[in-house]
Amino acid sequence: MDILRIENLNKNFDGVDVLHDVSFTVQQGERLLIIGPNGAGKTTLFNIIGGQLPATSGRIFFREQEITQKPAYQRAHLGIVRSFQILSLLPNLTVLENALLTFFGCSRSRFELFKDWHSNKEVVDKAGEALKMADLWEMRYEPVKLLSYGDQRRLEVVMSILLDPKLLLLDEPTNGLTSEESTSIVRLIHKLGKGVTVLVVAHDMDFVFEVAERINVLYYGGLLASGSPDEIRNNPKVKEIYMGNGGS
Amino acid sequence: MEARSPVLEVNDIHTYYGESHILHGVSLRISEGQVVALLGRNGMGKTTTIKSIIGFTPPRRGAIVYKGQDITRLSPNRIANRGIGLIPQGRRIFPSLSVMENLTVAARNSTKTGSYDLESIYKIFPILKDRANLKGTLLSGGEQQMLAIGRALMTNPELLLMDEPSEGLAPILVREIGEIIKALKENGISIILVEQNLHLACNTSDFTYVINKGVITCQLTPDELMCNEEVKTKYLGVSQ
Repeated sequence: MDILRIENLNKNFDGVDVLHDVSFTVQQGERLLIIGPNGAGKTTLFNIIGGQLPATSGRIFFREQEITQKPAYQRAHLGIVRSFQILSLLPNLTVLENALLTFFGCSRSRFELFKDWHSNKEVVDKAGEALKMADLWEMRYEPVKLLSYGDQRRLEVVMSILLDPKLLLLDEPTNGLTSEESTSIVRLIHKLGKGVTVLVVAHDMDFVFEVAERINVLYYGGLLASGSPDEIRNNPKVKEIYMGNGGS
Repeated sequence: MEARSPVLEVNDIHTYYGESHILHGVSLRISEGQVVALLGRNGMGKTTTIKSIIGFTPPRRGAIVYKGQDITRLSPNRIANRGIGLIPQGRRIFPSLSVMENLTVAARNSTKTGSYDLESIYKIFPILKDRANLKGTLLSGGEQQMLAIGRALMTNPELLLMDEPSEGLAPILVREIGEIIKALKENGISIILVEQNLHLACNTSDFTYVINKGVITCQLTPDELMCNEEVKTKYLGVSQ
């Protein structure tokens, strides 16, 4: 079953065509990677799916329901969750507080924010479970600003997961990470069940081929190619415009 | 590479964030026209070293000497004025300024041949010319990275601090960054390169320092580092 269907999507910024006539579908539970040269429109595509930007034209369907005009918060409630390329954490709060805040953001408990966050055992347990999965539990009382960049990136992925996504959009989640830290992000994604569909924008080819079931290649705002990791790896045009001579 | 006169000497610096002691006596040295890579896992003090040099987090102890003069206590703008450029991690593009304004806002003229101006930056990154009048926030991540590099070059630095310049760039552009670093070096610019992409760092640098928990643990040539599996695994987080 398609969980997401994009039809003839166009986006124009001040006369610059950033996306033109992009159409594709994503299957329930699929791991779809989106690659392409810088400026190809990958983050813009994510912004339009997430509702952070309106499309100039075209339509978006999530579980057969049209969401083209829905604002970002309504899409979030439907289960479309995204992380950002530039970290978007609250630096003065602790790791645990950041995690809890995310959880409250999408639950009915959000109006109980004036209560002590740590007293809600169910929520703390759930956050704790996710933090342990990402090896962040030991530093749960550290203010986020004291965490290394790699740990902050992992925390952001954990926060996305805590929002209980149906469709998770990760924008360059391994930027600035060591290969070991990237592997831990791969493990986090693998641990998500098939109940979560994952779309990822990434440039790290080791990571891409580790996670992808299918890869879409964007080029100058259009969909240049779509196929299995092997098909994309051996596509001469993709090699030429993206990977350079012979892969990563 | 045999060292010529040192452009920068970092002598036993100790830097703190509040009460947190981050750098425990870091020393390094870079000669004119040299590319030195500063490598290590995340959270080990690479960016703090860069911030200490440029004056954002001055060290409490130790000294930073640039072209023979102590700059340890100078403000960042004075340090930049003396010819140290910064490409910060996370790009830090001025969001309300256009691409062209971002490039020109901190420009520092140079009479040297091979100096950088708007035209030469546009020649290196033609996409920035196409986007000249767009706001910085409308650029893609990779384009912002190019803008951050261009902005630093417009200050015509003699020493350039590059904090993860390849982050967020497509493989083909990472190669281009490698070429740009080599071209800058040929142009006489000294570079301290902080980078997670080990291949890029080793292909472009003359020498590498490995930092772990605020202490320089190894000083190796790129060839020695590439052959040293223990250092790569233990201190650089390279997966086996």
